[in-house]
Amino acid sequence: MAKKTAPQITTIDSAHPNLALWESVQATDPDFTKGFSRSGGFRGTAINHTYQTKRATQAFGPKGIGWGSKILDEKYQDGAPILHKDQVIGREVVHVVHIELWYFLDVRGKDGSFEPRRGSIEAFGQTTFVGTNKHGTYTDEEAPKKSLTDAESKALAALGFSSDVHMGLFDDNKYVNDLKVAVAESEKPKGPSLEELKAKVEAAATLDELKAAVTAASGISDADRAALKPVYLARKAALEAA
Amino acid sequence: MTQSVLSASGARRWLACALSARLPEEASSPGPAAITGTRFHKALEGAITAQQWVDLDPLDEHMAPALRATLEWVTPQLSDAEVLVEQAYELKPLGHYEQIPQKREPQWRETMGCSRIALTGHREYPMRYGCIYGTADLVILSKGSAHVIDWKTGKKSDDHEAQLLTLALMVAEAEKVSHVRASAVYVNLTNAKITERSWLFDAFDLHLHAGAIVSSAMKILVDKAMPDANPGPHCHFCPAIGCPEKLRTSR
Repeated sequence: MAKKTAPQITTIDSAHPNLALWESVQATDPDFTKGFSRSGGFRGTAINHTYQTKRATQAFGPKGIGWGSKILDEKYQDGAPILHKDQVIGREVVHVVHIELWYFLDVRGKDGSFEPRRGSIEAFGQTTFVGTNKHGTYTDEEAPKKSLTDAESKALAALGFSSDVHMGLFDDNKYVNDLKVAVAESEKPKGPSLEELKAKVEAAATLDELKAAVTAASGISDADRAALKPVYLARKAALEAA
Repeated sequence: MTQSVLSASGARRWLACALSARLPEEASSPGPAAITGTRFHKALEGAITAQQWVDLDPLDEHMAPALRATLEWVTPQLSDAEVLVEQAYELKPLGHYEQIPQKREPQWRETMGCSRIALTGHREYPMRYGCIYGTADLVILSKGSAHVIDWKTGKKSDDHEAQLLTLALMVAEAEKVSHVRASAVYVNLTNAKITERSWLFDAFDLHLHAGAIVSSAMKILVDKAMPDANPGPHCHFCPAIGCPEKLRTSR
């Protein structure tokens, strides 16, 4: 079995241009997921919908401008019979919504320039509106809203959003732990770039300023450290000679 | 339970995980290995300061070969140098990372082997909030350079580089030298074998380390928000109480 690793974020100019969007949105922050189980032993991972909306906004722009969804059809459909003392007294009702999720994406044209193209995905979402649980029958007045959320999540999943969850990778603890580390790394405040540090070192007018410039560079990678040191030594020699 | 103290020996841990220095620590009593190590340090300290063989406590006779081997190793390095034994340093990382003028002045005395030597002894002033403490087993000052030595009677550890780098920074600031050689000298008390692990830290390394110390000190001493735990190899022997990572892994 192939080793599962945390996916890398790629850009639209990646080696697999057709997968560029997919690969940029496939990883899910575990902090925005929740495990759930249903009767019959089914276990799954629910993704926070506001988080999904934010990811889509990040990819396409504000909802309503860069992307959005349109309800094509909705209906209340009879479901399983509701029994009382072995008598059918009614039927469960399922709310079903059919949507079109649209979005604009910059796509590279034949001449190499980028131009916005409209894309769309159709998806269904459904929720039990009238059903039964251990307390008896119930009505879920939030069913239409939940159905829309479900439909949008399905449409976004078709574009690759949180595909790691849908592909079952969240069942792998190592994958989830790697992802947590990757998220923590990406959230760390980024320090100045090597070029900025070099410029600061080269601009130091006194040995004290030079010391301050290097002190501010703490936390740089070993490679940047190796690149910065000769610049420091040259500036130090120049200042000492002066 | 005690409040944590920022020490050079714990530098690797609190530099990597600020939370470990914010949490209270378990009070612990030293084990047999640590007690033996302390007795070795004490005997060696006496011998180096006296520059001659000193009569050992009968309890310490078993470590005589290791002591002789260590003295043979170190004595040539003491010639024509100023030597500080058990010098305590204190570093105030915030505002500036200069050595603050709290260092106890060494009581120099002339000796045969080296220019002058001083046993500074153990710290007599109280530890102050916001300072980092370190005691160098041996500092050899010669021709504008410094060599700081830490005797180790236990196993080699990755903690030692961060400890020696922190001590080197303290020595550089206090003794006004731009680069410091630092050595962890491993003394095997059983077979008297000496192994040295050394680093040469120049001004660039020391300034970078000072920056890392200031950055960690901000998280430990200033930030209102509790930092997140940063688990890693430094968690080994971490004495912090109430670490969420420790609770998670113990479940």
